[in-house]
Amino acid sequence: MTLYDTTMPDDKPADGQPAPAGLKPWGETKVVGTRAPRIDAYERVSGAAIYTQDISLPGMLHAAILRCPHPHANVRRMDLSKAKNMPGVRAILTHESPSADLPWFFGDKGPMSKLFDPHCRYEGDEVAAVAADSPHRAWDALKAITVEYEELPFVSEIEEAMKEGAPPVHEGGNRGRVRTSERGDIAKGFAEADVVLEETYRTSCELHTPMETHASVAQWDGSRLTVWDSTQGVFDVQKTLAQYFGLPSSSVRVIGHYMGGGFGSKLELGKYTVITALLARDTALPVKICLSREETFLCVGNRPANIMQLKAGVKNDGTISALHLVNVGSGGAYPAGSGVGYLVQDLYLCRNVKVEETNVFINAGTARAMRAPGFPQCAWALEQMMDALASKIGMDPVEFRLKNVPAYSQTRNNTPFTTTGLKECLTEGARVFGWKEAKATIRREGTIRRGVGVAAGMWGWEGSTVSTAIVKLFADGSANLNIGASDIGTGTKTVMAMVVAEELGVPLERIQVENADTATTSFAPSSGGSQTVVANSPAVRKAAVEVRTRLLELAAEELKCTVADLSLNDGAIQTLTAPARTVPLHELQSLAQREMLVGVGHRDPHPQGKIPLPFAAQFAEVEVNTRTGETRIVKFVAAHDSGRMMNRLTFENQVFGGIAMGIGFGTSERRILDAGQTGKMVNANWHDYKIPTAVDVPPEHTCISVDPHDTECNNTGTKGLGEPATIPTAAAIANAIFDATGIRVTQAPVTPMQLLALLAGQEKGGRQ
Amino acid sequence: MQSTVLFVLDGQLVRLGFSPGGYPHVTTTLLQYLRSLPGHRGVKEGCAEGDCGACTVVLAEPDGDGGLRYRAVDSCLFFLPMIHGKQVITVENLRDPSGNLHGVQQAMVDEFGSQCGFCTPGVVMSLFALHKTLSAPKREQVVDAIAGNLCRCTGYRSIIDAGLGAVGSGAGDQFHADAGRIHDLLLSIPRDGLMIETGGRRYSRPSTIEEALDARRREPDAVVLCGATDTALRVTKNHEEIPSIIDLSGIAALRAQRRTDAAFFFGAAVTIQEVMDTAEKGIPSLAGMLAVFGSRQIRNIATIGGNVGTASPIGDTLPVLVALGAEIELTGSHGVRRLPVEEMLTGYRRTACRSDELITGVSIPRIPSDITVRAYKVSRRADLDISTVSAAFRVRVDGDGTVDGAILAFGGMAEKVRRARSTEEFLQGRPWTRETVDKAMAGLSDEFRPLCDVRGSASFRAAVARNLLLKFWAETAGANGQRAVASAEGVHG
Ligand SMILES: Cc1cc2nc3c(=O)[nH]c(=O)nc-3n(C[C@H](O)[C@H](O)[C@H](O)COP(=O)(O)OP(=O)(O)OC[C@H]3O[C@@H](n4cnc5c(N)ncnc54)[C@H](O)[C@@H]3O)c2cc1C
Ligand code: FES
Ligand code: FES
Repeated sequence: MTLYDTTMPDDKPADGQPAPAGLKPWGETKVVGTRAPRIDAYERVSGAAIYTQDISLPGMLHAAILRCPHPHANVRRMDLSKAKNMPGVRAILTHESPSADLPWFFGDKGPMSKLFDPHCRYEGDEVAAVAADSPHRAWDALKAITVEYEELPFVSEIEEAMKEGAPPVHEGGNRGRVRTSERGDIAKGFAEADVVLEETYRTSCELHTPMETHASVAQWDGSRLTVWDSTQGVFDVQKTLAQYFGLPSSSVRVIGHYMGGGFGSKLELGKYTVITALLARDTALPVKICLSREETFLCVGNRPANIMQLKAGVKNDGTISALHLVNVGSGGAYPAGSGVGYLVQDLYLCRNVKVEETNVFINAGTARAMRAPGFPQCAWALEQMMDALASKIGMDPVEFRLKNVPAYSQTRNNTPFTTTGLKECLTEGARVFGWKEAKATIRREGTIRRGVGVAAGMWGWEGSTVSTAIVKLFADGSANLNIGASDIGTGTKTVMAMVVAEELGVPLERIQVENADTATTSFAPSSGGSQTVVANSPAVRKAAVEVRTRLLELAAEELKCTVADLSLNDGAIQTLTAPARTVPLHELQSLAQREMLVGVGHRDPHPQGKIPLPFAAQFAEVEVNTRTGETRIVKFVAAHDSGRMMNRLTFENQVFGGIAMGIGFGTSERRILDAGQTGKMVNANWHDYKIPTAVDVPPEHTCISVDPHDTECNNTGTKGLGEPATIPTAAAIANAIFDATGIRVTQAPVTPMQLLALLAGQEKGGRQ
Repeated sequence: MQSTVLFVLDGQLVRLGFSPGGYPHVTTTLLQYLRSLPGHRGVKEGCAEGDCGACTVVLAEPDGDGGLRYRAVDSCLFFLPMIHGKQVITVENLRDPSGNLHGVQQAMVDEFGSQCGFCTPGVVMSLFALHKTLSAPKREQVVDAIAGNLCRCTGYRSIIDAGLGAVGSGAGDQFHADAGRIHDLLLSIPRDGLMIETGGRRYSRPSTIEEALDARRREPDAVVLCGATDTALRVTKNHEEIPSIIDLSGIAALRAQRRTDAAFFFGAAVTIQEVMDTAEKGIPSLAGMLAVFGSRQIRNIATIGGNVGTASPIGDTLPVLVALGAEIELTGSHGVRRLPVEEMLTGYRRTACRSDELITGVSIPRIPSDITVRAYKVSRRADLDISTVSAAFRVRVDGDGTVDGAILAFGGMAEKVRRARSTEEFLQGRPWTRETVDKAMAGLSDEFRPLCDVRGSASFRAAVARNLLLKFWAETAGANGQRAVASAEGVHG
């Protein structure tokens, strides 16, 4: 599935078997839930961690890619003669190179392009690639290639692209078909409403910009390909690479140990990786590519821009009677989807809902899933609308939301949620924030005005259930965990090791994690979509429990007692009945004879007839300077129901990180295309594309885990966290700005420029 | 003149020669060089243009008092010959010989200050430099130290906590123990000039102003640089070849500051951070502006001479230098001349500095206590940013409440930093009241035709310019028009 689908898959509740008896989520835990530092922290803070960009192999060449400088052009002619003869240049690929004549797929849409497509549909489209013996020689060679382009008319804006006669990005026009989904009868719903509001909300195209730019190293050994890749999912890259090269999966090894962030932009195989592998094959040498920062702005994905018309009807008692969303978005030059509708359909109780969504092609870089694809956009619209509705019917925004908390998923035939912590998120969050007091006392007058806002959210995908973990217990009582998942920074390795420590009583320092290597680890889905802990920790637990069971059986035999008489703590077996004995694992003969115990855990299917999803509510206090239009976020409280909190530190870090990203989305980040003249991106660098710095995050920052003790979702009681953390943030800020100024900012991000213009308009028109 | 660059790395003296066709080149950056070594791949490249701090390393130099001064810099903007005479410390050097983590590293572990970890080596080095300078930094100081380190994962909270938690970690570390030896090693490096010629490219790093002027005479087309933060981008970003460079960062005289009863004098190669440190004790309007200049890693390299030399319309020091009545010292083969900043700026990135001259310093007169000067900067992000609009205002209000002498200087409003002369004239002799300011604001709009670009539209810039004036008035006059604030103070708009 693509994460952009409007309606998340109608996953029929589990066709598999129910969870095995005896493996209910933990009650009290010893290791899980503590503030355990990351198990690989030493490597990370000492510079010893080796990322793909740090890999250096003997004889390795460096690749660089020549990219189309125009938003829309045909490659007419290319002259490689000068570049070919430059010192150190070993290979050049273009669309005319037979080995590089490969189709390129976008999702399930069939081959829509080529590896080097002479019809370039966005600035940054691949035109040629060079391998040379140093990075700067590769770049110099690119500069020496002359290309004659036929520049074509282009279109950079959604509205322009939809107009009659707009330059078509693809044959057949720019406008995709409208995808509609409806339940109930919205006409009836609006007729029943006491208040109906309608507003158009817009969000800008946001870029992932992970810290490590996209990078791959490829090496061939005969017909066996090894690729080190900065990726969120080694198995996904392996599978697609195998298809491109016509190799069996077993001949493609993908390794992704340390990776410097992805946020969705590294969820799929990139052209740069295929190109690198081709160059390595052609030169019979290892080849490395590290994209430049500028390239990461142009051609490795983004969060699409959306224009969302939202109409909502509400009764005076706070019942939402109808919601109608019309969304038009653009995922760029190729199909990537730009759907946003989920929250409108599932976050609040409402019988009558209609969502209509259209994706439009423009001449700009193609979207990729970005942290909670579609959700922050929809929250921007829905949560501001909720705020406006509450004020129209004279209800507190928290109360209004509380009135509409669902206990079941309306997108899945009203199947109940395992737990809905939304209510607790709202009430606990409001309490910790001091919502009522702030609402009553905050200063909304003068030059520097303060205001408070709330927004809620949920994530709409339960995640994959295909994951296998292997736990090995050595005779000396140390353990090895083998999982396929990438640790994209969230602390996956640490959290999984904690699960093993919990079950086996082996101290964390004695557990090593082997991960993200298709040749040596078992399958795990890509780390994304908030599924990593949810998909993998139950498998890890089962593997650990299998080892534990086997170990206790052996110990019982050896110590001549029953399993029920034994416990496993701190790396030792203890007898619970007299004579009291403590046998360290390394003294256990039966273990020593076997050298190793191995447990394999397969993740169970989702529970039958129940939907496990995470919820959130966030509260912001802002200060608006009405003279400069600048907004400062002074206080932020985030309350999250993500099921069990596995590690206080990873939890806090995810939430604070998600909020920072939401602050960027809401207040400073946007791709700016020079629509009027060149169609090029004018802020393809971190100087002009502004992500938050340490100065921009709120000084007062609290996060709360609202753990509803979900005993049904899976055997670790976990729900996702990574995406929910960033979903409501921007809307909470916008609502706080409204509270401070009376201005509803419908366009994200809220830049000082925009706010100042709105404030000036307000001064003229009088404060509403 | 010698052609070998000498510096300390991994505690040892390194002699680096350059050969035609070999590696490294004179415009190889410190980052590229370090990453080409097997033991320093912990230093990361996030952008190669000074925006992210992933490449942060710490440079140590004798502080003149027998000790060492540590500063964090972006190694991606540092040409190799510029490390001559310095100790380079990277994240790999922080562990002690038995592998124990440094206090700032341990704090990062304890607070979970690292997620994907790609920003972490840079963050650690920024915190290291901070803790080598301050024993118990406050939150604002920690934030300032890491404001130039972008992190896309953590939201900074855990990093700030680590910075606060590492109290005292700089005092008794291995660097402290080894400081005497390093100090002497650095002093043993000859201070005379460098002249490196390889494959038709020339890099000279004179040690005196005279040598520099000679070089300039010989090669009028050579690129002159002080801190290279602007120049390095031409190489790292545009992959330009610069055939000849004259690097002034090795001239002790240009790194000197002087203070008299009448004025402050800063040599052209004094870094923005050093200017800021001095300004905090006497030129608050300038200090306030510099506090939001780039990031600490940039301020530690960028120079005041370079900021004037670049003559950018959004150069941060320029409006406030204009308002303060500063003069630029130009030295040529025919002697020294001084120009008011306004006359120095002749157009978009153009100055009155002739091709046989060098900017050698900036002189800033002390301001009488009855004059108020304030500077403002508005941008889309608080730090690591150059202004969209900046302004510096100076006003003296007579005992009777009327304006006697006003300077209104704006950046980002025209092709160069400019004064609003007509509005200044309008203010002269008028009461310093809201009414006057309202009229002045209306007049301001006619004085400028600002640009529209990524950083801000023309109407936004115009509105901000007007509002900054209003803000200045509000801060310097009470509601009834009485002057409320006597001291000059720098604020971030
Ligand atoms: C990430 C980043 C952030 C930045 N943030 C800011 C900011 O907030 N505010 C701001 O104003 N600027 C900012 N800048 C721009 C730049 O750092 C400053 O303009 C800086 O002061 C330039 O000084 P330098 O010594 O490093 O420049 P250099 O590159 O050494 O010189 C700059 C120019 O001046 C000329 N020049 C230098 N010295 C002399 C001399 N002695 N005589 C004659 N000509 C000379 C050079 O030929 C060159 O053209 C930023 C730059 C970067 C990369
Ligand atoms: S690599 Fe980004 S600042 Fe140097
Ligand atoms: S930890 Fe990933 S960028 Fe900072």
